[in-house]
Amino acid sequence: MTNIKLCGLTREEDIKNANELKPEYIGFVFYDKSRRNVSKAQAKKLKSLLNPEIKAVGVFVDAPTSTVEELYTENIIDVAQLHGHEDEDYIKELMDNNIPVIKTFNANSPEELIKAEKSAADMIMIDAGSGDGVPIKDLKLLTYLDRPFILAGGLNKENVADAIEITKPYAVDVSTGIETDSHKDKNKMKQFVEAVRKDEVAVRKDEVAENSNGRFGVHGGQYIPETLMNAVIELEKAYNHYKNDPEFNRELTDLLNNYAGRPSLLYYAKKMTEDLGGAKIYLKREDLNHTGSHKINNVLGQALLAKKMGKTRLIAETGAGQHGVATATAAALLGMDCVVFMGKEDTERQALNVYRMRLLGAEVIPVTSGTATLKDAVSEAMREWTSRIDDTHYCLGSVMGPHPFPTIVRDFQAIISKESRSQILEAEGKLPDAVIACVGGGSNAIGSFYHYINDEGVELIGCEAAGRGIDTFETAATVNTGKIGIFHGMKSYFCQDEYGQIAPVYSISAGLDYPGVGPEHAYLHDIGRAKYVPVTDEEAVEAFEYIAKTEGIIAAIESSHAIAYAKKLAPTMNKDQIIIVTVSGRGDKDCAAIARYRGEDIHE
Amino acid sequence: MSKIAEAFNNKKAFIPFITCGDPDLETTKKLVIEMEANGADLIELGIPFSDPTAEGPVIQGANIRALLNGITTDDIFGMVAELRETVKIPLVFMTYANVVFSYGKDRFFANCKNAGIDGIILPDVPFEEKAEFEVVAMEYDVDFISMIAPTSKERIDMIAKEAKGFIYVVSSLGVTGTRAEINSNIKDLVERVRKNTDVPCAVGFGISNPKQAATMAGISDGAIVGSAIVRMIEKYGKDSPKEVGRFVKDIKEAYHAS
Repeated sequence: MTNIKLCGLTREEDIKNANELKPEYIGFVFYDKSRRNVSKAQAKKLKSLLNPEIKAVGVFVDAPTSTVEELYTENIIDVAQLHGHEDEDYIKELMDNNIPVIKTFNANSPEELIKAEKSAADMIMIDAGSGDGVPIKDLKLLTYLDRPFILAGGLNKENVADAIEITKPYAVDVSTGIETDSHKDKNKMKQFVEAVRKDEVAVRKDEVAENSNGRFGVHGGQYIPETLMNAVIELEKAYNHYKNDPEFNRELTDLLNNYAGRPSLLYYAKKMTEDLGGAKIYLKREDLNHTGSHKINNVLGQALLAKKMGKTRLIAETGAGQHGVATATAAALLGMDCVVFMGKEDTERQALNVYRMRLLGAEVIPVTSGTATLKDAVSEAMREWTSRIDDTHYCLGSVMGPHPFPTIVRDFQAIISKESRSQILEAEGKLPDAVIACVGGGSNAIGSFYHYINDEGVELIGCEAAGRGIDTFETAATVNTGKIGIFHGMKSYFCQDEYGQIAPVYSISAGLDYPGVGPEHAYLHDIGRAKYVPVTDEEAVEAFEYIAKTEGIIAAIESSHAIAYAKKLAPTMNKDQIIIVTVSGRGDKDCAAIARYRGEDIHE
Repeated sequence: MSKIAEAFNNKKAFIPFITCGDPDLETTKKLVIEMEANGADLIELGIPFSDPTAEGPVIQGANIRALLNGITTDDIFGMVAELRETVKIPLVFMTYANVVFSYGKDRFFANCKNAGIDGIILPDVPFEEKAEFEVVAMEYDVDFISMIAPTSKERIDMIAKEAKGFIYVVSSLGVTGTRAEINSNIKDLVERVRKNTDVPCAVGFGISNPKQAATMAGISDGAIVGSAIVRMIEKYGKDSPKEVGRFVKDIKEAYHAS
C-alpha cells in the first residue's frame, strides 16, 4: 500500500482536516525562507492536536543538528526530513540519537540518484529539486531505484495515481497540490487522499493476481498440509508489511553491516586471471561474512522478522551446517531458542559445525529417516513445524519450500548482487559478462543473479553438484537429470524415479546434496535466462585445492563447484571480458573431508 | 448419493488406514477383506511415497518397507481391481501430490475409476492448490477429500463449502501417530463445518484404541485409525489380518456400546 504525507501544514484547521483524512505522515516546515515556515511554539501546539497515529515530520534545510534533536526530544516531531546539503555524517549523527531520518534527493540528476541509493538515511525522498509544485521530468528513471522511497514534486489529485502506477513508491508527498491561494484546501486534501487510496485497491488486486501462491511460471506454489496454511499466510502478511518498513530495514541493515560484516568484498583474483589467461575474474567474498557464508544474510532477515511476529523459537534444517550455524548465531544474538535438524550422515561429515551450533546454544537433532541427509532434515523440520506453530518460526535456509519462502529468502540474499553490481561498475565501469554460483536449493545463486536478471548481456550460470557424474546414479544435478514434480511444498525440478519417488541423491558437498532446486531457478531455466551446468566431485575438489594455492583462499566445497566452472570458462573468453564468481562460504569445515577424499586420514 | 456418502448413511463410520504393500500386496488384500468383514465402513489405502512429510515414524516405516518390496503405483491399481471382485465398501487412496503428478493426473484418475477407487486424500495439497487435482478427479467420479486442522480457523468455511465425499478433520497439531490424549476442541471444528455443509466429518490423527475411536465418532460422523493398525501389521506381518480384524471388531463394538 502507498503511504501519504501531507506537507507544510500551518493552521489548526489543517490538523483537524488531517485527523479526518488519516494520512500516515504530515509535515511541519522549519525553514524561515519558506512561506510555510512554522515556529517551535506553533508546531508544539499543532502537534498536541494531531491524532497520535499520524507521524509528524519536521522539514529542515541545513539546520543545526541541535535544533532537530531538540524538536524530537520534546516530541514535537517524530521524523526528520532533510532538504539541504546535509551530508552522511550529519544523517548518522541524528540516527545515532534514534531520530528516524528522511533525506531528499533530486530526481533529475543521475549522480543524486546513485547517492540516494547509498544514503544511510532510513528513508529517501525523491523530488524534482527546488521549486514549488514542479513535477519530476522522467518518472521511469525511478523504477531503477533499489530501495523504497517517498515520491514528491508536483503531485496532485490528477496525476498521483499514474505516478504511483509507474514508480511504486513507499509513500507520496504533497504540498502545493493540495493548496488554494497558498493555503491548504480541505477539498483538495480529501481528493488527493482518495485518489491514492483508490489506486491502492487496484494495485493490491494486481499484486494478488500476479503473486497467486508465489508462482514462478508453473513452479512454486504452496503444497503443504492444511495445518501449516495459516502459518505461511501469516508469514506472508508480516513479510509484506515489514519489507518496506523503514525501522525494520534500519535494524536489518545495522545487523548486516555491523554484525555480519557487510558489504562483502568484490575481490579481483589477479593470479587466477593471469593463470587462466582469459576473462578477468572477480570473487564475491561471501566467505568473509560472520559465520563464514552467505547464509547469515537470510537468517538475520528471517530471525528479525520472526521476532517482530512475536515468535520466540527458531527451527531450521541444515546440510553442510552453514545454515544451522547461522541460525544458531542469530538465535543467540536475538535471544531466541533454536533447534536444528541435520541428517545423521551430515552430522558425521560436518562434525565441527555440529559442535559450533551446540556451542551457540542450539539443540542439534540428528535425522535418521530416509537417506539421513539434507532432504530428510527439511522433512523433519516441516514435521516439527506442524506440531508447534504458535511460538515457532521455521527459518528455511534456501530459496525453496512453500510460498512465501522462495521470495523471502531471495529478497534477503539479493543483497549479494545488489552490492556486486555497484562494486563492478565502480571497479570496471561496466557489467560482468558472466555471473557464476553454485546451486543446491539455490539461495546464494539467486542472490548472486537477482539484480542482473534484467541485464540481458550478463550470462547467469548455476553450477549443480554432479557427484560422480550425471550419467551415474550418484549425482545431485537436479536440473540436468531431474524432472518436474511436487515436493517439500513446491513445484519444481526433482531427481525422482518414474513413479515420483524422490531419488537418493549424492554429492561430496553436504550443502548441495539435495534432490530439488528452488522454483525461481526452475523458471529461469525454463525461459532460458540462466543455465545450469553439472560439476563433478573430482572437478570441485581440484578447484578447492587450486584456489587455495593460487589465491590463498580456502573456499567451501560447495563454492568450489562454481570456481571449477569458472576455471573452464575463463580461458575461452577474451581478456576484456569479466566473470564474477560467488564464493558462498569458507572451506575450513571441509578440510577433513577433502583430506579423506585424497586418502589422508586427519583428525580435527 | 455418492458411494462415500453411503458409508456414513445413518451410522457412525469407522475408517481404517493401511499402507499398500506392507508387508506385501497379498497381505494387504487379506487385510482389506478381513476389515470389511469385521465392519469397516470405508478403507483408506496408502500408496507409499519415499518422503511422507505428514507422517510420523510408524507410517513412515510402512512406506519404506513397501518401497523396499518394489511396490509401484501400477501394482496397487492391479490389486484394487482384484479386490473389487468381492469388496463392496468405498475405498479411497491416500498418497502424496508427486505420486499422482508424476504418474499423470489423467491416467491416474482414469485408472482409479477403472479399478473402483472412490476418493483421494493428498495431505500436501491444501485448498489453494486443489483445483489442479480436483478438476481431473471429478471427471472420473473420484471425490477429492478435503482436510481441516485445529489451525484452520476461518479457513474452515471456504474448505467446507467446497468439500466432497467426507471431510478429514485432523485432530491435533503434528504428524500422524498415536497420542495419549487429544486436546483440540473437535466439537467446535465439527460445528463450524456443519454451518457450511452436510458433507460428513471423520476425525483422524492420534486415535489408537476403541474407546478413543468411539468418543471421536460420537462428536463427529466417524473416526480414522492409521498408525495403531500399521503398528500391528509391522508386528504380526503376514499373520496380521486376523489381529487387525479383531481390532476393527472391537472398535465397532465400542461404537455400539457408546
